[in-house]
Amino acid sequence: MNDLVSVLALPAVWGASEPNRILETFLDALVVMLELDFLYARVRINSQEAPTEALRIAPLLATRQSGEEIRQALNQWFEHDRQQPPEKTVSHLGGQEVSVFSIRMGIEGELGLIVAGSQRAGFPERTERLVLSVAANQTAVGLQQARLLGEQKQIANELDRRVAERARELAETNEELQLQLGQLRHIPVAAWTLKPDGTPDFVNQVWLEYSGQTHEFIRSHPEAWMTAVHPDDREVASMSFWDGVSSGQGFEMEARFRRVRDGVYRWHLNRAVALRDAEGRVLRFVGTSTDIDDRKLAEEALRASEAKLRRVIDTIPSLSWCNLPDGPNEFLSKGWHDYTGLSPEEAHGWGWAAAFHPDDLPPLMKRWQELLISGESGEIEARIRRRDGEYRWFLIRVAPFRDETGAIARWYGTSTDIHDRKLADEALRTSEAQLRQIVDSIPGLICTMNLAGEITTLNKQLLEYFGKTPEELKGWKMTDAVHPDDLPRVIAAFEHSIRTGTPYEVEHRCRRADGIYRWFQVRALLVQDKDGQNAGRYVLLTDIEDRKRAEDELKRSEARYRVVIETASDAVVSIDESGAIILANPATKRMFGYNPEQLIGKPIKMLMPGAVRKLHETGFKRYLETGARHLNWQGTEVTALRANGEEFPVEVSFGEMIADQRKVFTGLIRDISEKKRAEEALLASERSLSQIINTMPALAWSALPDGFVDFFNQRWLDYTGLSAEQAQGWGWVEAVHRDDLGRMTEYWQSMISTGGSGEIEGRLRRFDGNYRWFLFRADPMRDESGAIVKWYGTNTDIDGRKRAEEALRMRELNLLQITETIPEMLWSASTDGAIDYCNGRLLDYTGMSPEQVMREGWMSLLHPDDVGPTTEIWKSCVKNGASYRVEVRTFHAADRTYRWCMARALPLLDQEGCIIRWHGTVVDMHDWKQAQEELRNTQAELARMTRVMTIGQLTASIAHEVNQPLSGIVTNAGTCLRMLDSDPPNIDGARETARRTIRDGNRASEVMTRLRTLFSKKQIDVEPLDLNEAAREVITLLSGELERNNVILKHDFSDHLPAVQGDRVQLQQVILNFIHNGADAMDTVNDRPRQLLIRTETDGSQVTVSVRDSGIGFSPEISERLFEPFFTTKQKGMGIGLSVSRSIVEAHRGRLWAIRNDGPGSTFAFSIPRESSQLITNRQ
Amino acid sequence: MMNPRSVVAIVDDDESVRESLPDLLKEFGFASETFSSAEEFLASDGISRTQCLILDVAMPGMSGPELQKELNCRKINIPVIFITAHRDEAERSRLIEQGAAACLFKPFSDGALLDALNSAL
Repeated sequence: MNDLVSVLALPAVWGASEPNRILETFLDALVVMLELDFLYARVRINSQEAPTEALRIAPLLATRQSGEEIRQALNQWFEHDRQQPPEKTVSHLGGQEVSVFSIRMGIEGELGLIVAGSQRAGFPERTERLVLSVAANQTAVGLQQARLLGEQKQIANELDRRVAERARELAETNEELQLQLGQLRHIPVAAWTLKPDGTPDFVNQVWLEYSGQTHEFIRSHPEAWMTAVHPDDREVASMSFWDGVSSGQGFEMEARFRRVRDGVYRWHLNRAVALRDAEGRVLRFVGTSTDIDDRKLAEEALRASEAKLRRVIDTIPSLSWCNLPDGPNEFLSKGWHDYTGLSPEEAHGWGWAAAFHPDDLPPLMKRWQELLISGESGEIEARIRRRDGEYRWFLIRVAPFRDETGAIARWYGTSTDIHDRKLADEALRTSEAQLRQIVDSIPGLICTMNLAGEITTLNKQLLEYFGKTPEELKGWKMTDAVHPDDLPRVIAAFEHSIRTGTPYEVEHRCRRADGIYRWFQVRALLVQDKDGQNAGRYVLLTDIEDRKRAEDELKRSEARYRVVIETASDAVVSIDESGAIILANPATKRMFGYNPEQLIGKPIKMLMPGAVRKLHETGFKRYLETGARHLNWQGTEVTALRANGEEFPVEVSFGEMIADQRKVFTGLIRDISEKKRAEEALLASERSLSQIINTMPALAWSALPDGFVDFFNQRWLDYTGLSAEQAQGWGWVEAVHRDDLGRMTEYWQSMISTGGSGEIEGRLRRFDGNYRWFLFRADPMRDESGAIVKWYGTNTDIDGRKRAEEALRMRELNLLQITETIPEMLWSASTDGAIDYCNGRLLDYTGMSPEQVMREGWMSLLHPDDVGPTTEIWKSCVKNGASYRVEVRTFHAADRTYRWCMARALPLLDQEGCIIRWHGTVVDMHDWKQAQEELRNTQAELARMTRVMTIGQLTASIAHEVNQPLSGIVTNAGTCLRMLDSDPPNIDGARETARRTIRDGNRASEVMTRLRTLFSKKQIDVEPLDLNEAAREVITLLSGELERNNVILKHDFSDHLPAVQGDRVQLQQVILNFIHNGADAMDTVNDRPRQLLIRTETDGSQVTVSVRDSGIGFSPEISERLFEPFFTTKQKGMGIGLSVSRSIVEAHRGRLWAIRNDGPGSTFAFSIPRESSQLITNRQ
Repeated sequence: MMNPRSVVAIVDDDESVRESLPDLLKEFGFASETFSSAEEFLASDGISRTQCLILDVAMPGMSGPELQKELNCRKINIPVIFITAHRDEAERSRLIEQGAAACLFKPFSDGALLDALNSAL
């Protein structure tokens, strides 16, 4: 029974042991307990593992049998049936008979098997059976427990492992986070992190420096940082901020932030992204604020520049467009749409083709395809339909624009209206063709010669006559085209004509293609170019061979009619071969002033002026010898000499007779003075015709000397649409623009009266009603006496030039007006720094002339003390291209003083960045500078005033403070006297009261000292200062007043406040101001305690004093203005307290701010640097 | 001394007053008790002994006139002599009008206090 109890106790022994250990204990216990010879157990602790075996052998059996043998025996034994071993059997082991008993473990035997063996015959007895089976059960239970424990342990291990892994992951994440935060701290953009609820928990130095906010301030409230946001952006910023935070998505927004350094708001791009842990929970928001102000400005500038370019494109007089690389259109300028009337939709792609003339479209498309393939620039002319249906000629130019790879990115093109030019060209061509036809069909030989006498053009007849090539004829002087006898004469006459500008008319012989010389009369007309210069000759050759023969014949017959000659009005003179006159008729008397008798026997030379005599002699002599005539015998014009020495033109015709074997020459001399005049008039008329022809492409006209216009060329009539009848005389004025008419007719009349050439510009109406600008030119043509024979005029279309000129002039005028009227003094300088322009204002201001100021003269404008430094700066700027900015005293002419001016200049750069010139301004800032000075003085005065004013407010406090100790003094003194007067005198009591009197007297004295310090006007007094102590003094001073106003004043002073360098009284004034404001703000508060909290704190580098009230607070709208002078929300206030406070704090290099509390009221605070030993001592 | 109301109570936050007045009152023959605030006085059992109250006008927390009002509400009728360091005639008239026996501006003479006490009692 003890055994059974022991067995039952086994599980307690096992506890949470290992299964193996349990098994061993079990075997050891039972072997001993039941005195077994062996005990074997095989258990399967867990279905996945191999069974565990254990064997115990009693020492007795062990001496004979090894464990291995027993095991073999058992195996054999179990072989029969592994699952169902016999419960009881007898086996032979080591020669002994052993009873073997087996028990299965577990309900179904699934746990294993126990086999016990004993040499005892009765084994197992009932008790042994029971013990074994109970033990087996206990073991089973123990094993089960062990297994369960094992599983739990495994689970626990697994958990531990996972926890460790998770912890490691978290640590990694955290490290990453720290790393990122570390980076945030140092990156050169403003960066920050937010807690998942949106509260900032880290802000880097960049942001702090930019915004001037402190860490504490930013962390104090999720929206604290928004005080730096521009008021206009705040609502939007707040909305996207909270959207991003509450959704966990982060945000991206643009907003303007105030830069504390200069108070300027700059655009920032604010981005926040959520940093999440492995489960996706937001750990932090990490954000940056990037200054994009410059980019934003640049963007705007770009947009403006684009708009400007667009305007430029839309306003240039050509139609411009842009096509895609493969041909279709992408863009057409507004001008194109306006002109064609096609909408952008209609014209898009290939729709523009509809605007082209059907005849021009195929060549245009063909050309365009060629260009698309070749990738070259090109041009073509084509007609484009105007919105009113009229087609006009355009010159279409296109050029490819290539990207960096050289591929065509776009085609850019312009279409320029060349309609009028084209029509003019065509008209010119037509007119030339017509002239050519005329010239070729005239039945005469015609050519033109240049000034060198070379033939430049010639007609068909001429070629046919000479049978030579144009090249041969060009140098006719070197060929036999002219009869060699005549050639010298011809050349001489030609050169004479060129030299004197007189017409040329010579008769000479020309060689026909068949070699026969025939007489020609050759006349040449001067050709003048537009400027009236000789340009060459028109030459007309008339065949006079037949006429010449007839004339000779006639002359012979004339000789027969001597009588007729005698009575003829022309002089007739005959000479013999010696040149002596042998006959003269009576007409010689009238013509030459000699009677025939006086002439007979005299040489013919006497009738000739000296210049002609020599010519005559040589010519005559040569003729007699060779038969060559030196002049035309028929109707030659020569100069003759009267008896009275007068020279006059005569036309001489000669005849030759043979009388008595001797030659007799008879000349018929006619005075042609009159005829000559008539001839010249004719010539002039011819010239007028040639001029008109020459000026065909222009509008041309001619007028009588009195201005009556008697001729208009066809172009003039075509242009104006007037008929010749309508325009004649003064009818043309109808086509002149009304506004130009008076001016033009007046000018024209003055030209007529003075007879000079002239030109004037005016608008002439086209047939379609449009006016175009023309240059009207007219020249008088005069006869030899200088009288005007005719006016010739042209009108030249200068509309395009005129408009361009007008636009240019307007722009120049505009610019000039701007530079001369803007209320600034402007100047510019060339790249070497020399002044080359000053506007009127600058000259007025300085009283100098432009010449005085130009070049180096500007230095004389400056105060002598400033010349040196200013020149140095200017030279350095000119050298480096840096912007020039200098304050300099400049001479002011009006009051002959030097005034402070700000001179500035910037270089104007070309596309390569080289300086083109400098543009500068000069701004008189004298008054401003003085005002600044005055303002500073006023500020100082204001500061004193506030102090004085606070005296008024403080009277009550002072009285209270002083009266308190005085009250004690008086009472004590009274008591003291009474004690001394009593009988017996109370000496001890009197001594005590007298002592108290002295103490209270000292207290009163201290109060007075404090007050004197506070109200005395003193210089800034810098000393090491404990702000706690300073604040305490102010509190003491104000406690009475605050009590009266039911204000509860609390303080929270930092224990480790470092001393600052500063002026005690001034800083106390600021604190006093804060407390006053706080108390005033709570004046109307009755529903909550009127509480003021003064706090001092430090972050090591700065010491901050803040006063927090629970008053009415201030609205965000006025937060900007709180510190402006004379801004107040109080009925009684003057609005100078805070502005003075600010000037005081800023003089301490500190900062002053106000924020609205989370709850009611506001907090005013200032902070000054711990080491602010250097005050800004700009006070007087 | 057996008079249940035989004590002059002094309520003032200024220590020098609390120090000096009891000696003077003792010279006058009055017993006195001092309190540094109105609240302290109300909380004490001295009210029942008090025959006259010398009361400072401006004190942190409950002011002098407020204490007077409170006593009126409790139907406790004690003559009050106000003392104040804030010299304001208008306020003195108002306080007299509202039932104060006297109002003395600090510093006051011992004679003025004795007159006020005599008129109050």
